[in-house]
Amino acid sequence: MQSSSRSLIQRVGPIISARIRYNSRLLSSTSSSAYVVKETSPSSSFTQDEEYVQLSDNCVKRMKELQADEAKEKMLRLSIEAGGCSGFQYNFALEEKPNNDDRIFERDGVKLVVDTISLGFVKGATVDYVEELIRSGFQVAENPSAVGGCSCKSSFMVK
Amino acid sequence: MASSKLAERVATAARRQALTLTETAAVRIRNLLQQRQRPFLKLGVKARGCNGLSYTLNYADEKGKFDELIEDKGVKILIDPKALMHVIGTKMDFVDDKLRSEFIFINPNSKGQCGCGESFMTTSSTEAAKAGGSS
Repeated sequence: MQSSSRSLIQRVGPIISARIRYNSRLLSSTSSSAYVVKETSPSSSFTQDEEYVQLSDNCVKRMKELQADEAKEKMLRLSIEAGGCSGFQYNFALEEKPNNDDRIFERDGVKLVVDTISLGFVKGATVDYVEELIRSGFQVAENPSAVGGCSCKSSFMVK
Repeated sequence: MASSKLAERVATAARRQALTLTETAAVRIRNLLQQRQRPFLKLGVKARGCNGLSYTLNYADEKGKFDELIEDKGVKILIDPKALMHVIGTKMDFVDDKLRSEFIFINPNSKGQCGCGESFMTTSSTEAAKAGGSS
């Protein structure tokens, strides 16, 4: 009994303390690195301390195709909703204007916008565009914050 | 003679109802098959996903011995025999918007579904899962 409650605290503790650190970073302007953010492809504008979401080559390519049909500049918004079979699900939309609490990630002229709360769940992830016979669409690949998840990658659980 | 004709018509009616296509799905499939110059699409299921089963779709060049051939709106679909009892009565649709385009399956046998609709459960699949293996 004792060992199971200890392991529960061990599991939940880091998540709670991480959220507290994250929230305090939002309030203060100094940032101390509480996370080890996995560095994938080199990008000069991101440091280890920052939270980022990356765009894959296919994602950029697809956004450029979509942009060609649009009169105004559109951004891809990634947001998290509660739902799906595994707790949370990703939602993609095209938008023109960001909100005050948004972070914008840009690659090759293509903009991805994520609100602050959703960013906590997708930092370090990559947005990809996948084409298969049965479906093609944007997906979130390699989300370090997610565990388990739907095979179609639209729903996931948080660690 | 009359009874065998009737039996044939019942059989074809049942076959046609195993899977139906919406007009959008049929148009999309027709385009895909024409583009790739393949005769059939094959629908199957596999055990995965968060809720039991998920659909698979591939091109097929020939009808397997036990495949079920469905012809609807001028388009030919093969159904894998293992999938047949799970998908019978399903309506296949195609949704296409800027951000995604996909085939969706409206399956009356489905007892629960993943948010994206890819994973689903049928009573036969849950029984199979309980037995410790799923086709």
